Amino acid sequence: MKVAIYPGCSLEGMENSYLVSLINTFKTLGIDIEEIEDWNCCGATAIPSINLMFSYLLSARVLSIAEESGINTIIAPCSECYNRLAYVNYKIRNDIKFKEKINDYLKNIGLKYDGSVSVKHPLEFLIKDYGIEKLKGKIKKKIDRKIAGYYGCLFVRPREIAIESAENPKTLDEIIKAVGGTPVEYDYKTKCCGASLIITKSDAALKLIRDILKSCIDASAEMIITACPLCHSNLDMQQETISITYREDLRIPVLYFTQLLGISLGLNDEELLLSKNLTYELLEEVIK
Amino acid sequence: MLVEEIKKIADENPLACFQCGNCTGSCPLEFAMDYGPRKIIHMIQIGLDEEVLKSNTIWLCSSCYTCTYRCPRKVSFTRIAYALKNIALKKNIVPRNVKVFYETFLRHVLEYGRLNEGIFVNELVLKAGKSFREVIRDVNLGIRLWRKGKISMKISKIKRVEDIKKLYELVEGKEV
Ligand code: SF4
Ligand code: SF4
Repeated sequence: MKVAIYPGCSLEGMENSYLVSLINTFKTLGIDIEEIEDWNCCGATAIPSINLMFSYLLSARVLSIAEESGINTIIAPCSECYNRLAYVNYKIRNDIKFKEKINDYLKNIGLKYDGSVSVKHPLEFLIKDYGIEKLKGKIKKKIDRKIAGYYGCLFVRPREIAIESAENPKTLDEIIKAVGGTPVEYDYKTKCCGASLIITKSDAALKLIRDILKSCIDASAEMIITACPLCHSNLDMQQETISITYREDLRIPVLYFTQLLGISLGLNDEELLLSKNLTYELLEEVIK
Repeated sequence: MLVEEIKKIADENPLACFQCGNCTGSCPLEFAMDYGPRKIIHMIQIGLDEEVLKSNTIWLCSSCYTCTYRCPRKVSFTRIAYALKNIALKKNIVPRNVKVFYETFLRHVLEYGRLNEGIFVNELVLKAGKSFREVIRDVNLGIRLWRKGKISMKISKIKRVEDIKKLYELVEGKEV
């Protein structure tokens, strides 16, 4: 089985620490993954807002290149990329008219897509394909802390592509338990962080981020783990602005689940880029 | 008619909605919207097209899919909102900063095949017509990100960027 990674623009850009920590964590677990060749942007929420069909074609081009290279599984760590690729894949597999339409367009750039590739979020891949028990066997360092897993929206909704229940998700909690931590229960696990509204409607997004942080802190979480670059940057980068805007101290360390896993596998900062998180200093106080 | 256009663009049928309000009750951004998703669908059903396109609801929808997930009639307001965004952008009924955001994003995709975040964010701060308070907030955060080495001005471009341009020209039916 050939597995390849679709990094997406954010993991190549500001949220590179997610990619680096994921690749190194996977390597330590014995999973080697190559990158899909000449991949393009999935379109995120911006391109479907401009032209929905064009956004479907962006995902279809990636799927088609993967199929052509004999790749069976694409791992898409960014929830937004996962959502776009997985939905187009679902539509192509289940709607023959849609499939024909997509292929009519792809023909013009010398590509076609038959629907043979599966798209997976790394959480699903680790827990189901790799196996959570096997993962537990590799843990070197216990992180006995109260941790909030923040799931966000895009790998639990819509139903067609959800990796688990949006009302009671478990995957991040499984990871927390695997590293020896205690998952905290709180209300905002799958409430939206506002994603790119932080740029276009920042006041509204700040309120959403504030409510999530507060809900985690009220549930006595000592840190938050994320599985999406949009969720991560919103929760990690906006804490100072929120503390000033709302006049309350809502600072809490935020890290990627791959970084948490990496720490417990004994990886160093160069391999996990923890110090790139804006809340890194807070994390140092929690994990000595 | 919006109903027809939405069907064409998003393969969604606003007439299937029976106005239960699950979507609005679940929407995390309803507090900031002129009209919640249920009301917007009602307005579409009775033909208040212009009011719908002028509402801020369209631009406040974050595409979180909560409404879609909870709709008992299998209507996806998320995808209806995408269609409305497509239509409103074509008609140029869009706040300036939102327009700049989308146009800049599209330009990156057509020029590089990817979004180069460092340059993108920089361009937005310069062009979006932000308030003084917002600029200070952005600059403040920008400095901290820069110190962390999170902002890179490196350009990443795909090999066959002409693929992307071709696909866009085909769907838009015009050359760019
Ligand atoms: S949840 Fe569905 S049926 Fe109910 S009001 Fe919203 S769109 Fe209509
Ligand atoms: S997708 Fe949009 S309308 Fe639906 S719940 Fe989320 S923000 Fe509200």
